[in-house]
Amino acid sequence: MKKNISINLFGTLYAIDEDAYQLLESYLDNMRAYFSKREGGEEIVDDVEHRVAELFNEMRQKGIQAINIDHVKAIMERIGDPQQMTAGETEAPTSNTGTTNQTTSTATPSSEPHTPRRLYRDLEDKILGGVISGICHYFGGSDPLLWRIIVVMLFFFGYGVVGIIYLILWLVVPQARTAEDRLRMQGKPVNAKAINEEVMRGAAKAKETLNNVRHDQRTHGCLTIILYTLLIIIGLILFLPLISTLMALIAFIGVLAYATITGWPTLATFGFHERWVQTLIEAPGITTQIWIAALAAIIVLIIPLFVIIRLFISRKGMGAGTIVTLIVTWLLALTTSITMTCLSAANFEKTEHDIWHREKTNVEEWIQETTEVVLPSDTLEIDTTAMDTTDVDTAAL
Amino acid sequence: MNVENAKSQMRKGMLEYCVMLLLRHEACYAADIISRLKEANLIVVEGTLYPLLTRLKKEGMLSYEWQESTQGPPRKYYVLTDEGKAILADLDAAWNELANTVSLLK
Repeated sequence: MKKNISINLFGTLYAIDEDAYQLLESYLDNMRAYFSKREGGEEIVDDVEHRVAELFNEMRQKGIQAINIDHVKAIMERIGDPQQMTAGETEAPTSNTGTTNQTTSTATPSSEPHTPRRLYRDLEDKILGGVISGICHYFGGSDPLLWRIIVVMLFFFGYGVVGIIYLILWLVVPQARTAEDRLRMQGKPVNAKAINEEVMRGAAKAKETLNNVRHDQRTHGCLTIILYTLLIIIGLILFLPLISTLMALIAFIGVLAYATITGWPTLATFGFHERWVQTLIEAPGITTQIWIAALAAIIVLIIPLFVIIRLFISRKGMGAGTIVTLIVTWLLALTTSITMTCLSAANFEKTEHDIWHREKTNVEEWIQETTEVVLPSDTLEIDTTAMDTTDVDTAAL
Repeated sequence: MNVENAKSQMRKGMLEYCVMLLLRHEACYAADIISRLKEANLIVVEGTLYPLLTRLKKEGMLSYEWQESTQGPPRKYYVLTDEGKAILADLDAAWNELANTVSLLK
């Protein structure tokens, strides 16, 4: 059983299997891309499309109800790929065993088996512009992930010029649009057979993504791509600060855990100010407050990190439910963290003030006790003498 | 010597001339031309014709008009322009010369 769709070709409806349609579409797209460079190219593709419609029509008259993938393959072989079509103008096709039936299944080896690789941007495997995956293909690599990591590392560890080079390459290097471009990019020989295979592969891939997720990048508008790029850039900028803050916070929690287990006074041995330690001991419930603040802060940091990492790894969007949950959790954690930090700070300050006040009262009491015994106050006279001397000084000047 | 290649080069050289010959007396649409060229073993894949027709049209040799078809999509009927006819006469002369030379050599 196959899903069947109907397409409208010049005003007539034809029933066609979904996979057959995918193949036909990529065949015509490939042709469109190939001929777009030359004058009248659109007309050529339009003519081919008319021819396809004619052949569909012939099939219908023969009693074929639905066009399947084999029919489309036969049509593709009959009409030929763009290279074969233009072979008459540039190079010689070698297979010429033609009876009226199409015996053109043999490929025309029009170029040498090892074509040099060319640098293209691979849009089928891209994060931003497909530059790095293109470079990876150029040097014969298969998985651009490592290349990407290296470039991002370079970018952040002082080689910001990498970013500029990337942007320039993005602008200058052409994208691999046609099946031929893709073959050249991978250094594979460009011949009719390979092109057909590549077109088929593209069709299969398109089908796969169609089955997997409906809102694939195909349906992404320009704005979405800009937004996505912006997100990536923001992610790149935020990633390291977030990570380092997280590290610091984890270290802080370590100290906090140690102090909670062994008691605050142990902190004094680490060189913490005695007054601080005293305050921490005396402030009511401050340990709990700091703990809550720190744990909430961890959540506040981890959520954006998670989002950034996901942005790099997966190209699929997040579900609305997940996004809302993440945002709500983040906001809650942020509020909790801030509130608890403020509370504990206020708590600390108040306790510290209390302690200070207590100590001050003690000292004052002590001073009062001692002064009463030792000397009676005689300050006023001293003040006047001081005043007098300054007056004399100014007069002298 | 690559015989197949030599043959195909010969056919290729004639292709343009043959297409124009087909259009000398009557207007044809692409499928007509294709089937006749295939009969004569002049083309391998059908698609070859379209870039050729587009180029000839651009060079002013041909023109076409759309005609509705009772079955299938509308068709482009190609005709030779006056300029095309003049060029064709030129090509005829060249062909006769070639054919003469060849038969002399034989």
